[in-house]
Amino acid sequence: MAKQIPWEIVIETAQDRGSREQKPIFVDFWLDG
Amino acid sequence: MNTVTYSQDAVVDFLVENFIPVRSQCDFTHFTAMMKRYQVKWTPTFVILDPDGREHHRMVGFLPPEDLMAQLQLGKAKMTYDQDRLDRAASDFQVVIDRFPKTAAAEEASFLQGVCHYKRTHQAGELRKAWERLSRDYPQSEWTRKARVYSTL
Repeated sequence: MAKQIPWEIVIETAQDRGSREQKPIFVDFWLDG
Repeated sequence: MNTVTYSQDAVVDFLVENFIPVRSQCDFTHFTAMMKRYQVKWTPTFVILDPDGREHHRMVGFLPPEDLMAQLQLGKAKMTYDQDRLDRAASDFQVVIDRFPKTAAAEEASFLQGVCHYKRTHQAGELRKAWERLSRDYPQSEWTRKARVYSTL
């Protein structure tokens, strides 16, 4: 089973996590299909 | 990106270890708030943000695994550079150069590392050394052309 990226969907949640975990945020703007 | 780049375990591990990964779906008929906020005009677009939402690096267009990881590492280094943490930034740029020497990210990292050294020491010779390294390692790079003015320092 291949590993999966645990994507966040909500930027505010990612920013909270980034502050707590002292990590930058990587945003992939994508188009489905 | 899903089938070629995000399917690689090395990419997943790198992202999870170093970043909070976010996916934001775009709609070019009804621009989303995120698209407006970050002025996204094409996909894929990738941005590196600090936890306050400030942008430090951007990439547009498909990236294979090695190039994505190199650009991510470069983005991390540029964030520390923008925060004036110059010692840390210089070592972060070195990681890009050492781990991903054949990528475009390494060329930019080599240039910015020279700038870091100069800003730390105020020795103009650091900029000349950056040009010398770029000329030796990346003679065709746009970053070598940008550093050309330092060759006489």
